Amino acid sequence: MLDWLHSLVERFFGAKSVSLGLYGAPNAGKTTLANKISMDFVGEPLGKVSEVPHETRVVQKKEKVSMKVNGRKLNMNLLDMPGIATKVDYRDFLKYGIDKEKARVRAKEATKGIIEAIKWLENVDAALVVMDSTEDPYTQVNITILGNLEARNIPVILVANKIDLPGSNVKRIKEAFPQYPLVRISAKNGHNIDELYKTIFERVG
Amino acid sequence: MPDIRIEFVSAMALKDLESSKRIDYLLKVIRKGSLIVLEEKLTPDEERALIEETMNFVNDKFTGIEISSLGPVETNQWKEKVIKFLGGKTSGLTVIGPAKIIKEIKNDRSKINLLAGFGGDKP
Repeated sequence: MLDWLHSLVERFFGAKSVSLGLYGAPNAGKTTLANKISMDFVGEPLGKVSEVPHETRVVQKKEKVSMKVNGRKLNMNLLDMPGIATKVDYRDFLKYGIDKEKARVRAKEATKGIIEAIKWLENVDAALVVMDSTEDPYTQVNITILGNLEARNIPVILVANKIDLPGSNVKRIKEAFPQYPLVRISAKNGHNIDELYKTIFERVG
Repeated sequence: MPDIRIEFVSAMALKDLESSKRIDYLLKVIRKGSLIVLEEKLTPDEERALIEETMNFVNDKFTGIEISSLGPVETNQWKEKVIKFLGGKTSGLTVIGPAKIIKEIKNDRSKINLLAGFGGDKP
């Protein structure tokens, strides 16, 4: 009955449109997830994925993504944010075979990307905070992101990513941030992605 | 091995400063190479401003900060501002320092464990 009512409202007033930001630390899997969402609903990827931290250094946007789940539609602008960090050292990139000058440029771009992602915190309508479930989730970066989103009453969904990897510990994330809805996924192989879409509709649809 | 200076700052010491001035003060001390233990938790807005300002200063020598805090996440920014305006302090603790000398920082919500030093690899 509710779904039928939603469809009726959408037919007359058009589907709701939201800006959905993907936040998290570098290498949490934000771009892999953004690509999965974009592939599922637009048919093309959004950004390049790399094992080198700070691959995404500018906000990547995919506009007019029309998410359809169980007969309902949600129009969104998908925003893949650069990973937020409190430090950037060009020397960390050298071990990936990047030469010194390119590493320095990458570091400079990464700092600008972090500032851009932080500025966007007040402009998104909803956020997926992506965490690498093999890592300790109780970091200052995650605390700062969540604190700022909550202070602005922006709906948040925690995404425990990389559950396909050994050492994944979703319980640790749930214990660190029990007040938020949490979905465990593997953005890489799409495991449990439908549950995430369903939760997005519940929280922001 | 060079010494590491730690500055313990009471909440009262910064209470009269606006948020931007508080951030300026913290960054000035950290960029000189000292650690700060602040007797309160920063607001989400201050944490955000601190990271943003830090990024403006990152270069080959100053690679950023490590920060960790204890205390409840107070998302009612007005409540925080009123408490500070009235001369009170919010609960909590914040430890901040240059990323170059903090080798490890762990927070289990009731205590912060920090390892600092010069040179060598992280454990």
